[in-house]
Amino acid sequence: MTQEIFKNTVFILKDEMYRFAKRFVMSSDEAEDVVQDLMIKFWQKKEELEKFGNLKSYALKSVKNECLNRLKHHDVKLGFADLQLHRSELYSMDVNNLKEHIIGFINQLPEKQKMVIHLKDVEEYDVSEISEMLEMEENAVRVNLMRARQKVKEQISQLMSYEQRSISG
Amino acid sequence: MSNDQYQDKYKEVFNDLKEEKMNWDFEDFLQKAEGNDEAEIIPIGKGKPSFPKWFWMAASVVLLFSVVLIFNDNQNADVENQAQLVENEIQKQKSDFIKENHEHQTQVAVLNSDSISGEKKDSIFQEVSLAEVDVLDKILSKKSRIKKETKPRYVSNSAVKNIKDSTGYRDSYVIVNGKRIDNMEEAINVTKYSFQVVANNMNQALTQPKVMDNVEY
Repeated sequence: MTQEIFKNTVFILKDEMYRFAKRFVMSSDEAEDVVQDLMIKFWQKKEELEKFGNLKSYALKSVKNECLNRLKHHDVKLGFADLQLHRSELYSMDVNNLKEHIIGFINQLPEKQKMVIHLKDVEEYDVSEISEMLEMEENAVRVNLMRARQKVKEQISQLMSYEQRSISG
Repeated sequence: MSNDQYQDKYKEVFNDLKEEKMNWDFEDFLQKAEGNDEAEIIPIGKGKPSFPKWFWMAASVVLLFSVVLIFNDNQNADVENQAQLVENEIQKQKSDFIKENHEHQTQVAVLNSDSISGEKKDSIFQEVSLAEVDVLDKILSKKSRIKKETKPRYVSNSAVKNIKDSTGYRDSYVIVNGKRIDNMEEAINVTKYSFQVVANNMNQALTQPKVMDNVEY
């Protein structure tokens, strides 16, 4: 695999990988770190990458696994309670408007719902593609997507009504 | 608030999410990747160690071996010496013991004649047979043999003395009224005669009782 081919087939996936990584890890910096590490690994194994038919799917699976590994390591280091505290502090810092609130809420969704809603509503993949990427049944993908959307919408409704009350009050 | 408003907000949020991009171009990536590749190369040192290294290694190995050999030799010699010493000591003690205890004049052996377990042989005095066959063992039943008390018997090995009976009895002759009789028939006749004399005297004594008149009360 030449540099040009790598750039056009693998490297262009960096933004998608970065956005997906941000759903898992704490900060943008860490998401960037994940993507950089993975890109270097892909580069080192660029000859083997040709064997994979769907590079996008492979790349996103790798991001998921890498992020989960890091989170596991992080959990071990900090302990679960500290991690929760850390998360809440982290999110409370950037929550200065409605949009940040909602993104924070999406990030706090259960893992499967978070991945499904991201891949469907942000990256606009089909349900069949998502089911292949996440190795889930299509029905399970649909159920998780429905629950995730419902929760996010409820959250938006609550936040908007709170904003309106505070404006009118 | 209408459903459209929620939907708009929802779309707006997700569109914003989609616009997020990573600020990283391919050139930076290549630099980093190639830098990583270079870092992975482990420089190989010299193929062979220089002469002094070989020399010192060989010298140290030889020294080590010699020390081990000397140590082993010493240890073996020590072990052999000790074994010899112990053997000599045992031999000496054994011979002393035999010398001390082999004088039959003074030796007194205690024999516990246990009829069941049999005689225990002494490794030193095997030639001296202290075993004594108990006649009772042959006669008595097993039960009785067990019940039988085993009393220690003392055997004196002192010089053989001419044992004299304090009564002066000899079974080869009898003395009757100070006269020595060697013949058995003669002895029987003398005895019979004596019994007759006694019997006659007794008859006389019984047939002629006398009132003792002259006894004063």
